[in-house]
Amino acid sequence: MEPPPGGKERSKFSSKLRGSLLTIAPITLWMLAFFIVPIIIIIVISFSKRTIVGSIEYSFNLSNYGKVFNLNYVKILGNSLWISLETTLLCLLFGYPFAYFVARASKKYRSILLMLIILPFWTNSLIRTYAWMILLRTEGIINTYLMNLHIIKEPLQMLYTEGAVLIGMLYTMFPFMVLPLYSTIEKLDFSLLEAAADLGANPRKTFLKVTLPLTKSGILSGCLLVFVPTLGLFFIPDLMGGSKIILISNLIKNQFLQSRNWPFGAAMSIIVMLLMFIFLKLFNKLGGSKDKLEVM
Amino acid sequence: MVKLNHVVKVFDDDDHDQSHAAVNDISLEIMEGEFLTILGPSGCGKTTTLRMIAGFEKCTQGNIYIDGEDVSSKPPYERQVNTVFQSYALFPHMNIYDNIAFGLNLKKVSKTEIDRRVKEMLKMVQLEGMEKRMPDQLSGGQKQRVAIARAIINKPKVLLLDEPLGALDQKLRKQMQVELKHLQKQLGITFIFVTHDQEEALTMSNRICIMNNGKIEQVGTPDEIYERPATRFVADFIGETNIFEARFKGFEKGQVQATLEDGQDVLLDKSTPVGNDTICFAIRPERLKIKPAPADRDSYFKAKYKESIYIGSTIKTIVTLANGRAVTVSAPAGEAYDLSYRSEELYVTWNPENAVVIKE
Repeated sequence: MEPPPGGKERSKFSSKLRGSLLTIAPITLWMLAFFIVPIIIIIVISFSKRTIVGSIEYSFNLSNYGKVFNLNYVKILGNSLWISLETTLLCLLFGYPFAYFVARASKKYRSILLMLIILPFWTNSLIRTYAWMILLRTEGIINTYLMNLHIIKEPLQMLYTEGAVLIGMLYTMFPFMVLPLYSTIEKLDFSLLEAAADLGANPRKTFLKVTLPLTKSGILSGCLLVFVPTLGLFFIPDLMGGSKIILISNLIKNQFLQSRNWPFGAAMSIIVMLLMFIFLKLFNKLGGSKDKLEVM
Repeated sequence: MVKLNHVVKVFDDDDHDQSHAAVNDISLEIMEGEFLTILGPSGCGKTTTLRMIAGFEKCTQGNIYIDGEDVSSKPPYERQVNTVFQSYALFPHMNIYDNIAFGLNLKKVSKTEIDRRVKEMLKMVQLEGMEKRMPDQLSGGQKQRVAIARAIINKPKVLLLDEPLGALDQKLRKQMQVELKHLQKQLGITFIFVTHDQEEALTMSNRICIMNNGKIEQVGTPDEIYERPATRFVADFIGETNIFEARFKGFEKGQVQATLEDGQDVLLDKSTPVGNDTICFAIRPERLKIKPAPADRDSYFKAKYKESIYIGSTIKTIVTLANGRAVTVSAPAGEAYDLSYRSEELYVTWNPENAVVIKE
C-alpha cells in the first residue's frame, strides 16, 4: 500500500527544513559567538559604571553616553569624520584613474598591476606604517636626501602632522578603493563609450554621462570600504600623528588600554557603530548594492 | 559620399608580439544615398573597415573621405556618421527616450525640438509609448529599433550598421531587413551595412563589396555578384556553384572553347578575358540542365547520374564526370526531369553565357 500523499509530502518537507537548518546552523553559531554576544557585552558595559580601580560595576546608568557629547569629544569625532572623508576622497581621486588604467590595460599586464596592489597586503600593515615613519621622520630618508642635495637647510616636519596621518591612511586604504572600482570598470561595456563618441560626445562628456553613472556602484562601494574602516584605524594616527592628532579610534583604544575606563570606551564604540550603520543605510539609499561590497 | 583611398589597418598582436594587416590596401567609393553592404567571412576585415569609417580605429595608412573632407585623423565625435552596433550598445542607465535623445542633447538642441524629434523617431520605429522603459526591459528586436532610432535622429550623412541583425531570430531578421530597406529609401541616407549573411546582402543592397583576407574581392550589384563572380572566392562564397578547371583551347564563334579535366570540350562566356593556359570557370547549379540530348546552341558535357536530393522547392541532382568529379544540377521541383535514363549516360547542358571565367 502507498502512504497517503499528504504524509509523504510532509516528511519530504520536514527533511527539506532539516537540511536548510543544518546549512545555516554553522554560520548562525559563528555569528552568535563572535558577533551577537560580544556586541551584547559591549552594550551592557556601555551602560555600566567604572569603579575607582578601573573595574566594571554593573549598574544601569546613562552617564557614559552623556560624557560622549562633551564638546571636546564631539570635536574629536568631527575631526575623525573629516579625516576619514579626506582619506576617502583622496583614495577616490588616485584610485579611479588607477583602476581605469588597470581595467583597460592588456590582459598580459592586468594581473601584474593587480598583484602590485594586493602584494603589500601580505606584509603586516604595522610594519608598513613603520616604513613610512622611517621615510618621513626628521632624520629620515627623505629629509636626509633633501639636505644632502642642499634643497632644504633644515629638516622638514613631516611626521606627526595631519598630513602624515593622511598619507598613512591613504596608503593603507588604497586597495580597498581600487578593487571595487576595478571590478565595476572592468565590467563596463566599452562599446558604450564608443557609442557615446559616435553620437558626438567628446571624452569629457562621455566620462560624465556614461562612464561615471555606470561605475557609480563601484565608487560608492569603494568609498564605504574606505570611509568606515578609516574611522576605526587607530595605529596610524597613533604612530604617524603622535600625540597631536587624536582621533576617535585612538580615544576608544586609550579608554580600554590606558585609562581603563571600559564603560566610556564601550559607549563611544556604540556611537561610532551607530554612525557607521547610518552610513551603510545612506549607501544603500544612494543606489549601491550590498552585493557590490564583495570586492572581487 | 564616402571614399576609402588605399586604406591599410595593421594590428599589433600583444600576445604574440607580431602584427597582422586586418585591412590590406583597400579603395572603395560609396555614392550618396546608396545602400552598400560589406560582405565577407568572419575575420575578413569588414568590421575593421566600418570601424575606421566611424573613427574608432585609425588607419595605419591611406585616407578616408566623408563628403569630400579628409576625416582620417578626426575622432569619432567629430565625424558626421552614426553607427548601429552589433550589440546595440544602448545606455543601460537611461530610458528609451534619453537613449534616443542622447545625440541631440549633446548638440544643445532645444527641449521642445528634441521632444518633437524623439516622438517622430519612436513613431517611425514603431515604439510609441515605450519612452519610459529601460533597455533591459526590451526584446532584441525592440532594442534594435532603439539603436537605429538613436543613430538616425542625428541625421547623419552616413549610417554605419555593424551586423545589426545578427542577434535576432530568423523571422524577425527577415522583417527587419525589409524595414531597414524601407527606412533607407525613406530617409535617403547612405547606409554602409556589414554582414556575413549573403542572403541579407543580396536582398538589401544596391551594391555589395565582398571582402576576404583584408582585401576587396569584388564590388558590384547583387546580380552582378551572383551571376558574374569575379573570383573563385566570390563564386564559392555566394550561393552554391560548380567550379571547373579547364584548359584554354581557342575561340569558337566568339566564345571561349576549353577542355575539361576529363577531356571533353566545352564552351564558355565570350566576354571573359583569357590569358593563361589553365582557366577556372563557374556555373550555378540552376543554370545547368539535364537532357537526354543537347540542343543546338547549348554547350554540354556527358556525365553519369549519381543521385537526386529533394529539398522542397528544388530538386538537386548530382552527376559525375568520367573522372569521378561531382557536379550539382538543380531544378524547380515542378520541372522534375524524366530520369528514366538514370543509370545511362546523360547530357548536362548550359548556355555558354552562364559559364563565367573566374580568377583563381
